[in-house]
Amino acid sequence: MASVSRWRAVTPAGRALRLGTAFWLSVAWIALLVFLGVFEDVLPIRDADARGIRTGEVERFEGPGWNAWFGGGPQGEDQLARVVAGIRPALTLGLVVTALAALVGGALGVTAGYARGRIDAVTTAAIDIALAFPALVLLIAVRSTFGNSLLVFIAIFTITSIPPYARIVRGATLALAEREFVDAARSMGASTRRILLKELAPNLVLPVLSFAAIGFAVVILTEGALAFLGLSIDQVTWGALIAEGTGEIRNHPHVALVPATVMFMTILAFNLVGDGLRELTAPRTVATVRRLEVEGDRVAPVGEPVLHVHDLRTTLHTPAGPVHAVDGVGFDLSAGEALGIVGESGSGKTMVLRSIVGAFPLAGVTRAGTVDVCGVDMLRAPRAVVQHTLGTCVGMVSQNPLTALNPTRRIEAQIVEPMVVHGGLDRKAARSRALELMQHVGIPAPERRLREYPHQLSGGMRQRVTIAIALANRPQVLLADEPTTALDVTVQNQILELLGRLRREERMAMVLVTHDLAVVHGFTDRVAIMYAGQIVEQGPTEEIFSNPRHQYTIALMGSIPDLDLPSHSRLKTIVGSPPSLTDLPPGCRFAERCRFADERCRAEAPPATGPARHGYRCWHPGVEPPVEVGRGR
Amino acid sequence: MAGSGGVALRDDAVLVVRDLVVELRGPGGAVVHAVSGLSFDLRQGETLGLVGESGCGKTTTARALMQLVPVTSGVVELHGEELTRARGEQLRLLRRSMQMIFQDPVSSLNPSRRTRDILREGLDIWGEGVGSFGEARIGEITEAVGLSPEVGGRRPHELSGGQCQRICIARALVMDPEVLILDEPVSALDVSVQAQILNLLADVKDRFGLTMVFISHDLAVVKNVSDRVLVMYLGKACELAGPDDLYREPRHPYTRALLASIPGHRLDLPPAAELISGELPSPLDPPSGCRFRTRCPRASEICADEEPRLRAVAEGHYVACHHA
Repeated sequence: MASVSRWRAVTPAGRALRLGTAFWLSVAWIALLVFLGVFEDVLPIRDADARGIRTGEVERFEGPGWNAWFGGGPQGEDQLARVVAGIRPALTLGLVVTALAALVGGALGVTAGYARGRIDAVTTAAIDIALAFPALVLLIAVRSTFGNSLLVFIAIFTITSIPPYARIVRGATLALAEREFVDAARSMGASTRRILLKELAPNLVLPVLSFAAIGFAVVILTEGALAFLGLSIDQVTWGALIAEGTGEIRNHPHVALVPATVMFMTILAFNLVGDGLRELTAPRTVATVRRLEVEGDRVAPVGEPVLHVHDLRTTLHTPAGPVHAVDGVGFDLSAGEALGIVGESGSGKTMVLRSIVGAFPLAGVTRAGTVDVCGVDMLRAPRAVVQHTLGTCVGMVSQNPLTALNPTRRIEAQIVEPMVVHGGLDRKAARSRALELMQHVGIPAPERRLREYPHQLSGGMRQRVTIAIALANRPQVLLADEPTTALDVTVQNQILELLGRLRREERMAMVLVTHDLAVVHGFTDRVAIMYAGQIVEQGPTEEIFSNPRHQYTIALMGSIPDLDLPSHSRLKTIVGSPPSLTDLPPGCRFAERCRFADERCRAEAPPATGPARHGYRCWHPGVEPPVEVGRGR
Repeated sequence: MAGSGGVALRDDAVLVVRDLVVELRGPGGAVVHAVSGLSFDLRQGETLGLVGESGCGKTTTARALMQLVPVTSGVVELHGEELTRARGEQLRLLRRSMQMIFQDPVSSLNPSRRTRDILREGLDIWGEGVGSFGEARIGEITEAVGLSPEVGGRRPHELSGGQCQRICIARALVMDPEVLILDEPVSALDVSVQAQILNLLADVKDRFGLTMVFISHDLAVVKNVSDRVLVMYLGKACELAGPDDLYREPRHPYTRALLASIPGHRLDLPPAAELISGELPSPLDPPSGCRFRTRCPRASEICADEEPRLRAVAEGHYVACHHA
């Protein structure tokens, strides 16, 4: 989904602003704790050790109120003062342990992940052993020998926290070291030290910080649990306060509840911050609207096309604003007819197919216009009817056959299932049809192949299998999204021939979406050229190739290397890049890159013109001598 | 096909690859025969196109030239200096004269660094004053690759694929390399951007006197950029010729099949289905003799018994086939 990546290009700062209220509330809570912890001594708070039974300021088990906001403790202590006094040990323990463990674990992890081989094997084994070691036993043993000072706790917590950090950093480093920028740095003569510090480390900061925030919470939680067992530090801690208060939980619940609430909120805050940071490392495209909507009314087709698309408008609601991915697309296909939709990344060609079947990469989408498949209104019919139509009338072939197939299921199960679920066949009939289909798509030794798993087949064979699955219920419409892009040229040729043969034999209507003009040549009856969400030109394939009218079509054809031209021929290029789909220009969408563009092109959107069979949206249609195309790829 | 032999090597080459063998460790200790006895060379200012389908060993060859994968045997020489034997500081110095451009321009750039710092990388590594480095050179190259100054403050994910590939090319050129190795440099780009980058490569090649190894699966692209084309199959060389010769008169059965598979081509060839059959054999256990024989319509007994050596069939046109 090239079009998705197009609007993911948001700056980290921009993304940070959208981390959400929960994240920023958590940050505010942590900031408040830090403030109280640092200025504890100068703030107008009572002494945490002062007992009300001596000073008379606070009653024993006094309820929360104006005198003592969080109430009084068993000896008349001010609970607010004690909770605030607990901040320092909690934050110190968390911060020091997390920082030390992250640094040491991070260094170990980076070294292991980058060096690989023996160093990695030894480190990984050590991590595994360390993770299996019972930390609590270590703690009790060390505590009985060295006492229960904060320092001892920091040491023990750090040692037991290092392995998880080492493990997570090692994993991240392994993934990063695969990336080509590391090879590029090596080729430039960068030393190992430089690669580790300058290339890898900066990319590990965010994942480690996100893990550390959650690690921080774990440290505080563990301290609380230990305090409950009477194993904690020799200071006022939240855990100790909770332990003390639980004895009086019936009569004076506030004594335990106040420190428990503060601890709970702190742990929650650190977890939310960790989640937020993780979101920054792997930004997901989140929809701002969480529903699929349909607008406008259906426009009935003229005649009886099996696929009728009229004025289709698909808008994706993203954080960057509404993306007009498909904007007024229309075409009709009769039985046996093939349409090629050609465009570059971000042109909306794949989104047209997604809009037909109603499958989107994110949740917030509005569709308007008409999509009829086999006479069913795919935008407005009940869900069950749409599902049934998709299962029986539509076959889909996608770009990557490996991800289209379920890796854990045998080929046979994957072909049989749609026939049983939607086609109404029993298992036996479905099995024999599966065998027939495998032969039909040219798979040698089909009985054996049916028993195999997807990974046992080559890329070309896998694509044949997805085609067999698509054909299972004798669809009237076949939607193929870049079906040969992931394949080698000799295999591509075989798959295109196969699709052409099946279309003729089964009289299917076919939509072939591709970035490669040469692929539609000879394999489709008509071609639609898409640019920035619109079909800018549509007509019979031969005519589009021999007499392209839209300046984008002409420029696109000119930029393809031509096999018939001598080597080192200068290529014609299109300057610049397509407009953003969130901020479309008022006039012609290609104007900015077009060498014929004038004032009108920039101001006024060109309407669809030309004869019905060959329409285009261009104020200055080309009348240049035909460009030879189709020698590429 | 698919043969070995150094018959096509010339005396005045800058970069020489002789009997290159790369065997990689596969799962369970199996040996992947990625490159098996490949020889070719490049003259100053020449562009060699390496074509073949996935699994033919073209990317492994590129990585072996850069010493990014361990070479099992054979020699890579730059100006008579053996890269394959170089270690440590010596390798670091030699590598400087060879730079590589990768397929995925976005993944080739460190996501956490700004363009400005990425372009300065060579300078940071080698220090000011080494070779022809310097801030002035960075400026000159940034302009030569068509990057506007305002991209300097941006990070890779804020830029388009075309812009990222321009940055990769600029970063390599700052090193003042003699040889540029390009591994599918335009495959991840849109057609209109591909044309921009191909023209740019032609410009910088002239301007900076570069020698290039250009790897691609796209035969039309390879024809456009190359002075000589080497067709590979399953780790071996099939055919080596000038682009116009090769596309006009392909001799090797695999070259013919490859060209006949191009959609919409107008070459004088039978349908692809008559020229190639079956599936690519596993590089874990390649066929004996000619590696293409299992899919070749002309294969005979000798093809299984004896590996065809690369031989001249015309001036500058070499084929490794018993029947061509």
